Amino acid sequence: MLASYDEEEATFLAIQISKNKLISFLNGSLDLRNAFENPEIKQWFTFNSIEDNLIANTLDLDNLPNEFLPEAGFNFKNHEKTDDIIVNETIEYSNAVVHLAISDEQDNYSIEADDLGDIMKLYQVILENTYKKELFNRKVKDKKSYYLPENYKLRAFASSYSSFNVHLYSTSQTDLFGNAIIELGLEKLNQIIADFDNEDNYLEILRSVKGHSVSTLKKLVKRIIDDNLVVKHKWYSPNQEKVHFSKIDSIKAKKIFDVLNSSEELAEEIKEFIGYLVQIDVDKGTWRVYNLEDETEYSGESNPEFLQGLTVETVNYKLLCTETIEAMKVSEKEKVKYVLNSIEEMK
Amino acid sequence: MNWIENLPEKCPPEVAFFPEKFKVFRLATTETADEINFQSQRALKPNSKFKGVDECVARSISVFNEINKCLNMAKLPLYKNKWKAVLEIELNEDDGLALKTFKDPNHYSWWRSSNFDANKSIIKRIE
Repeated sequence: MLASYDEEEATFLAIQISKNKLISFLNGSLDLRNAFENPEIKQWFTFNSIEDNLIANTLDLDNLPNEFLPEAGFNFKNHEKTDDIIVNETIEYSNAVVHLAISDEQDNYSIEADDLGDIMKLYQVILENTYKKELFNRKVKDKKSYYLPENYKLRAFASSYSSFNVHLYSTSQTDLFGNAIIELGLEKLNQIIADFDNEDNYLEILRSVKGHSVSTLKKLVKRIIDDNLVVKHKWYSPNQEKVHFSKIDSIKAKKIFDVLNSSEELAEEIKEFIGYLVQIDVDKGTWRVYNLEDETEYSGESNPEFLQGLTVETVNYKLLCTETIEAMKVSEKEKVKYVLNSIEEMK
Repeated sequence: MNWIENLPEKCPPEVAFFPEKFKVFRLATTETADEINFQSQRALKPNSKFKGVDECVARSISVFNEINKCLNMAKLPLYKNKWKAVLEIELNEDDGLALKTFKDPNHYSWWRSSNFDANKSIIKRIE
């Protein structure tokens, strides 16, 4: 709680709080004054910044003086009663929680297992790729460590009515204030499935995640159209100001699908490798490169003409490839395919 | 449109909208619709640096579309005794442009046009 502020410095007051009490506060039933006046552990802290590393000092007091207390009647409530469950789950898991509800024409709280499996898989792939793209586009210290799957993979832990509603939680890294890194992907995903009136603005959003996110979004909306499904997406994270909600029915899916079809290049992901060739087969039109940046080998296909006259092992090249994901069925692992567009020797 | 203060280039942003019977609320330091209650942060603090706040937004006026947000804010220790009233304002096309800004779902930035008449505000005293 912000206690004082001038142009030089802000002072924040803090208390330790149990999950149950935090849930009561976020659900609007615990008054902020009560929380600070009667904390479960009678200790108050002050700090002056809300950076990653903060130094908190304990206040040497038996009771918090009135000037530090808010007036009675500050009740926080930024969500509807129907969202209490997702807010409570978010506090319980101390991380982002997603509710993905799927219904078909029968609309009877059940769903074909194939539809459920495929929609979940497509959703997870879109989230993974929007997350990675956002991370790539941002200035983040020690970025490599944030590419770990725990930061974008979700785990299902419950289901409920309201279509067939799967509850998933994230295991992503969080900071001291509860910001979960997966929010990068969830916020972007929100944008690409949001309602839009202006096609140009929507295309601009899609361009910021072009590649796998867009190609998978296309598969998702196609499935919604073909099977006349409705997908409801709700998510919340500990430090979010509100519960986010969006819905895609077949009409909205068609609208998105038409935009995606009008701009095919959005689905292409261009990958650059810099390193030496490990193997070339001109007859078969295949190649393998050792990429110096992540010290990993990648293989792919090519027009045989591109491969003629290249040197193996001793020369570094820059390869530009189109990356496609071939399999997207629930039981199968993603098969990534690289097709060489151009190759040039590094001087 | 003529703005009440100088705005940087491309300000208000293209995505800002023309309000139409858009009811918003704003805390006031007096129980009147004085000019002082319709100042942007930049107008109030011409030489301050606002960390993480775009200059265009610094030259807008913060409003909420929920009165409870204002009433809650007035209860915080920092603001106790500072705010005397909540102004209820109905914004229309002639009054400027507005845009949802910051994380708070009820917070909007309003770029005020010189046409806006502060006397149209309804003053609600904070008890």
